[in-house]
Amino acid sequence: MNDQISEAWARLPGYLAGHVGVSMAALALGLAISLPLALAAVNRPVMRSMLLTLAGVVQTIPGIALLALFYPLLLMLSALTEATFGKGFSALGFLPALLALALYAMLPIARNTITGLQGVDAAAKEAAVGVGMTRWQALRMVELPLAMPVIMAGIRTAAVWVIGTATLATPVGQTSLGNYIFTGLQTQNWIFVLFGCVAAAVLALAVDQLLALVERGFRSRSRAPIAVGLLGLAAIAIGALAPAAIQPRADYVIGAKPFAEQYILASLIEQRLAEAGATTAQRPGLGSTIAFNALAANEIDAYVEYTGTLWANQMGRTDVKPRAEILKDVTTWLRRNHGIAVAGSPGFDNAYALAMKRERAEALGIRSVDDLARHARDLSIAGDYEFFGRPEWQALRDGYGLAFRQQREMQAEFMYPAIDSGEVDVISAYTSDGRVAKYDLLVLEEPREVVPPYDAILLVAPRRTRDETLLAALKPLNGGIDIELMREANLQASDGGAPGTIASWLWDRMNEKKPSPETR
Amino acid sequence: MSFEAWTCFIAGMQNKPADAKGSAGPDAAILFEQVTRRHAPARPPALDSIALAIPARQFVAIVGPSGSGKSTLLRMINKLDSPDAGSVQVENEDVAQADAVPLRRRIGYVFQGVGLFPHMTVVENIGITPRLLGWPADQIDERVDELLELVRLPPEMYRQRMPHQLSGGQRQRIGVARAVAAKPRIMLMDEPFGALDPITRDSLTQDYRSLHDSLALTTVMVTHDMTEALLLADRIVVMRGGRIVAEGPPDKLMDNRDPFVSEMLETPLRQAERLQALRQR
Repeated sequence: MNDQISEAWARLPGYLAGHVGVSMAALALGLAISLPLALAAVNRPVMRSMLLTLAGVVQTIPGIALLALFYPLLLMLSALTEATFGKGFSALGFLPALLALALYAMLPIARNTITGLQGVDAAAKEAAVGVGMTRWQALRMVELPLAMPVIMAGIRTAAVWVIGTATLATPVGQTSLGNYIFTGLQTQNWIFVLFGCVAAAVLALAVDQLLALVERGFRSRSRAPIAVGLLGLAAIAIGALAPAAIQPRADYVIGAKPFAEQYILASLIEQRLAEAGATTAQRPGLGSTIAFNALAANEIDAYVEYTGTLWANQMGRTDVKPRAEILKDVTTWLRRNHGIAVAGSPGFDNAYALAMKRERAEALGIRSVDDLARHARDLSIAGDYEFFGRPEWQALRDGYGLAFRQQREMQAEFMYPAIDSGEVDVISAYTSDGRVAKYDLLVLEEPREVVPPYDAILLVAPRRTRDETLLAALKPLNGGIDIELMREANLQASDGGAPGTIASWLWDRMNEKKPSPETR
Repeated sequence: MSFEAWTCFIAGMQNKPADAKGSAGPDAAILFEQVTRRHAPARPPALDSIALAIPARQFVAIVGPSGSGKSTLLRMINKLDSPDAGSVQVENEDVAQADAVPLRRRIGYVFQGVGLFPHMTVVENIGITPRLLGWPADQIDERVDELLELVRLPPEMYRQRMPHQLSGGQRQRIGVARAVAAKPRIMLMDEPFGALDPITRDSLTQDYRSLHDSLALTTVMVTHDMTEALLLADRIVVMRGGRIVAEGPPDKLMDNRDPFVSEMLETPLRQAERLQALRQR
């Protein structure tokens, strides 16, 4: 536990910098967009209602969806600029987060600006015209100063929303305090989850109170609170951003998809690189497609992928071949189509499989998916959010004629307690998952081989295919981790171990086993 | 002016200066020519073929009930409103052709709402038009002190006050000071003292009249209060339904036989007589 807390503290500067940086930029952009729009709309009823409706609609889109929507959009734009100007931009991380959060900031700023300007005393407005102010002077010298308290209140609301929603920027690759939450949820590290929530809340509260001070200053027309508030905000910005700015850019960026195995292996790669004297950074919590595209675009340098994922998702293959052939085809395809190199396979697979509670399976006489198909009508199945949309599920369903009584989607972390308590009968499990052993689950045999193999492979970005340091760091992982070892490591993670600690443990175990490396 | 003098004045009008330059001429400070204004096509016009010439240095009161068009008439002088037909000229310049902003900066404007800027101090409020005109800061400061003296508010006490720290009468004095700050030759006043208590109002109107004289201003004041008009103005224009129904110096107006005009004049006279009677009892 102390271990987890100290690891959480160690990550704070980086996460806080990412969080504060993207929040500030988004708030600034939101202001830059919505303030002029609100000024233009305040005396134009049609434009006004359009602006507020649009901003209101954006507000109803869940934050995580809005953030995710920007990624493919930017990817298309980037491809377009690359085709037109020969230079694309990174669609990962900062940019999609910035745009989505700026959109979120728009409603409160636009609404309050309009309300504030409409609320300015009519006599003051008439006097402004009467003394001979131009439209712009009236706005700058009279209307805006008088509307300022209301506008500040809007900025304050926007700031709190943006800081809160920025925690959801992790899956699109923007480092934020959400990294604690996403990593923590995946590894059952509740200390991390709590740490992330508290850190985001403290930041939001501090910014809110400082902006409240500024607002009070504008309301009472006194300069001191405004100055104190602004200085406080500047102190937060400098305090959060300066350490990261001083720190040199990492030599290598290692990606990780949002589950424990990935975090452990990414940490393991980082540790090997650190041992070789290189600096590293981790981009954790990336979605499958985002991680792959980021690697292809050289935005991350390496990550661990699975052959079946590339086979089905990237190559769009629905047929299944023997393990070795798929690995060969995938490797060739990666090199030809993306210039990505495969630096080896650790030696375990993390395949999709169907699992049941062992005693229940035995009671029903189920050992394979074929057996399961006969009982499926009376049973319920749970899968993670991805599972039922995947070709593997379609192949299983169609290949074995599976039709369950009930089909439920839930977060992977909750599937295991659910099957343990008998709430569901069958779950989609990963073969390398430590909880398979922990909950005494039986991974059902799949005799017809409709599901492709999911061998872990080490992918290297196109620009790093000849990078000696990286290749040397990855080398010991090649064939170094068998399924039992990976399961054991994953089980430690699901019991709340910190990825870095588990990676060190894993490294020690790998070296113990060295004399007789185990590969399948 | 004492109460006695006031009642006496209402009854007799003998101490009112005669209108010196009452007739329309080419050198009028303000000239209306057949001005018509319709706010909505379906409704009767707010102003209907108004012709009016106001010579320089004259104090003109425009009197009439609500909706008679008197404010619309006033607001055309500084281009806060524009005619649909006809023309308005200010100091021989067609207002329609003039740029509104510089025009307003050389015309003082005081209205019932006062409209002091609540986020500015007294100094900043009074100095606003000179500031817009780009006067140097020390000259503005000097001018503000001079004006505070003029409206009888000691500068050292009032310079740094905010509008909400002032009484209604003080606010209106600042409003007048602000309007004359950039040394305009023309002052427009729209019910300027309407919201004040009678005593404050009386002293303010007196003070303003002497300001008008000493600064050699041309003043157009809109009011619905005939007594105020009779007491202050060199010339009264009576409006009704967008038309001028009578006009002339106060004493000449007394001879007007138009039933609407006599009705408007009867009321203050009757009140004055009743007050007089009360006093003699």
